[in-house]
Amino acid sequence: MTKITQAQLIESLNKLKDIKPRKEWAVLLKSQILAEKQIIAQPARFVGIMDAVRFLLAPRKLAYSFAVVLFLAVGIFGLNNLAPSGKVPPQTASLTNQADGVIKEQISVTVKSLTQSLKQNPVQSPEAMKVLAKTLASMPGDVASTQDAKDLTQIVVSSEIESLNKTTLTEEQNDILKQAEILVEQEKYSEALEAILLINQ
Amino acid sequence: MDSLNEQFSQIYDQYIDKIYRFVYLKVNSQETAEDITSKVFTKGWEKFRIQNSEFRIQNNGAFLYQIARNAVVDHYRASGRAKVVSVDASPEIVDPGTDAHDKAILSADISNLKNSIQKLKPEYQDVIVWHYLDDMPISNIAELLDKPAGTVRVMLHRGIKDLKDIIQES
Repeated sequence: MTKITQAQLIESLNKLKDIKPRKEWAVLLKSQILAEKQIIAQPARFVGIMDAVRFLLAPRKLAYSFAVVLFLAVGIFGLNNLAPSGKVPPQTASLTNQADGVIKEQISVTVKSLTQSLKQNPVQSPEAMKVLAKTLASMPGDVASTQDAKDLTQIVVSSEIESLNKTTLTEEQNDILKQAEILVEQEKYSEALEAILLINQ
Repeated sequence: MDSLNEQFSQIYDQYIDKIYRFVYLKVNSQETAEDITSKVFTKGWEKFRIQNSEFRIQNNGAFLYQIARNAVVDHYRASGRAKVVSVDASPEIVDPGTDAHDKAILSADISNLKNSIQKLKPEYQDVIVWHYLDDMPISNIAELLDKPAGTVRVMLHRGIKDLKDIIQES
């Protein structure tokens, strides 16, 4: 058995100050981290510059993508009977033949139907709500600004917050969740949605 | 370089050695310590950049150490050491393998001391590292842990006593 005094122990502890990271690794890591600027500010809408460019150059493609996912969401929620016949084609493939204005109108109609349904039947599958949350984050700007889209975002955000409150989260995720709740109180549902997506990443 | 980059660059320079050492003493390989430290600063930078009127980082050190503590817990969870359930509650975190490279870097004395520290409760490891290696005053540790200074003093005293016992028994 080795006898050691407290002073000797503290002296030994001081030697651990010699533990340092490799200098070249530390320098490289710093440059890598500071180079990554686009990750967090808009986690769902624009992950990187290329996404933003794609968004600007291909609004139609985005609208189609959004429509496809939205219709899939409608499928998940079992709402196909809610879309007025003749206004929302059941085959998403036919959307590719529509003009942008018509597509946006169809998306608006679907958003409205989805909102009404969720208001009437608030209890939905958590997985389906997650899909819907991701979809809403990529909603085209002019559709996102409609009252129906805002109502839908509010419903999804409230549902996701309720679900996350029942989940075990890390301290960091809890902090983000608190921020999301504050944003909901301030009726900033789009920003709250982005915070929620950050937790779900 | 914009202002945020500059600010975080300074924080990085100030804490990279400390956070790496803090992590390295809890795991047992240089590679793992580098991986976890990298995650800590990446996450720190992400959070640092989204500060706004609702979310402000009050204490950069406390903020990074908290991320580091969680990252170490996540590492052991991911490694299948399911007994580690929380930073404060877990009794002991020991990574079994020390590779030859690390042994070569550390002298035998330091290596033994490091192994002994890893046998302490994580909360004792933290206060010992912060106080004796980072020269952090007890009041700052108390703030970091959100505990009274008296409690921290007791933790430090018990940690040193346990560490002495571990070394003497080895």
